[in-house]
Amino acid sequence: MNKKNKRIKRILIICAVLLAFVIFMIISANSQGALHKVYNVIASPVTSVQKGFSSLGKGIRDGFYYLFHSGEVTEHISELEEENAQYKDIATEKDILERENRELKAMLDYKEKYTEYDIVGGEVIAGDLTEMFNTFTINLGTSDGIKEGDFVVNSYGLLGVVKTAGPVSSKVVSILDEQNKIIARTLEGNEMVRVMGTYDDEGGKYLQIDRILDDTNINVGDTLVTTNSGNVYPYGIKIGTVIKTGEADGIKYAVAEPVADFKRITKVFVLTAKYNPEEE
Amino acid sequence: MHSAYVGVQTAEKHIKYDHQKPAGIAQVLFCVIAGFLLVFIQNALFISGGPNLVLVFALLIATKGRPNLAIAFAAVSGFTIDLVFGRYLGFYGLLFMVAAIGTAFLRDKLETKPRVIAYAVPVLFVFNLLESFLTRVLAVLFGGSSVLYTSFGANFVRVILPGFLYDTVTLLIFIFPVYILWRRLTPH
Repeated sequence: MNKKNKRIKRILIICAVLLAFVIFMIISANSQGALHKVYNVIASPVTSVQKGFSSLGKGIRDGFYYLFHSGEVTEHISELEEENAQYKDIATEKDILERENRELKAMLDYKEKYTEYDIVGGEVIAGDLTEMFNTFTINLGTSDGIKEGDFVVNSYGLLGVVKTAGPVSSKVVSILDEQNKIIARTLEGNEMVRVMGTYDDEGGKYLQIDRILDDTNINVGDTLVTTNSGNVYPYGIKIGTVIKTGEADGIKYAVAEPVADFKRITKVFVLTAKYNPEEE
Repeated sequence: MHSAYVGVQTAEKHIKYDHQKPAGIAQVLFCVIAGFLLVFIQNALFISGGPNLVLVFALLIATKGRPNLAIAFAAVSGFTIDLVFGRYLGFYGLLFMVAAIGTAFLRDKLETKPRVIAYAVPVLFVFNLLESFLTRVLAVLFGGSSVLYTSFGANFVRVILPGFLYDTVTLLIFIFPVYILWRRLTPH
């Protein structure tokens, strides 16, 4: 009897925990309020630990990258060796310098172009567990002036929006998520459309373009940029390139590829508005 | 595949099976340290699409006859992932816990060997199915998506099946170090 009671008690505890998880899931899906408080409490110590692991992980990833691309690198180096032995490492150095140059130039461009925003540079310290939720964590938080709703970009273009800002880290929902709907324009025709993340059944992640009117001229190769419609996004941040257009059931549609490679993002910039109407 | 099967059988044959005894303090400590390391390592090493190390570890503990420890480990580590890195609080806590319960249940009801293949692998398959389905349900309910799947078949072949195979390979790789350490930590 005692054994049976113990068993029932155990089952009840498990059911209660499972039910609690379901409730947490619903609450956190609807509002970040409850989640935000808990995240704020534990984020600081956890982020410090994660930063350490992240640096270690980056070193290992880079090591594997060069291991798998050693053929290309070796070929490149052997060509350079013929010219001069002192330029052996030029391929790697050139890559690093080019990347740094691109990132710094992008930051400068953003600073010059978006004067109403503060630009804060940071790094991605963790990704989504299984790529299903299009989220990543950055090492910037409220102590760096970051707040929820700020835009995250890199040297290529728009990456996402800060969903939860903790003291020293923030969770970002990428533009590939279905929840992120952005009003955009094409650079070529200045046509206004709506862009949102989409997910195909083969696991590919793209940007779906809808709200295309009959007289809207959108073509493959067009570049999509943010527009300041409704003062949500600043104008001109690159989002993606149109790769497909078509019509289904009389409704025009188009698909775009994001400009940023989400599998290899490391450095990011957060655009945080200097003027915050909520503070008034 | 055959050699992997024989390997798993051999590994299990040499490991003491003592599920009647409560988990030793060393085993609990091992789970705490492993959970801490695995949660951070998998998110640091793989910015996207990494192996599910925490789940694999939880299932291995469950196959070793420590259902309470495995379920607690799955719940706590899954919830930590949700809290620190996740999008929906409770998503992986729930799924990991269900997977650990499933493995413990199968282990309790079946005597098939090798245990890892009989219990953990089918659970991994169901886990990947559930993960995909629940993700789509959340996308429809809260994410503004209008369809659950446009083609479940394509999704199954290109997303669910590779995920399952990836997790299975991770499981088969992890079985040896985890079981060997587990054996050393088993109270005599």
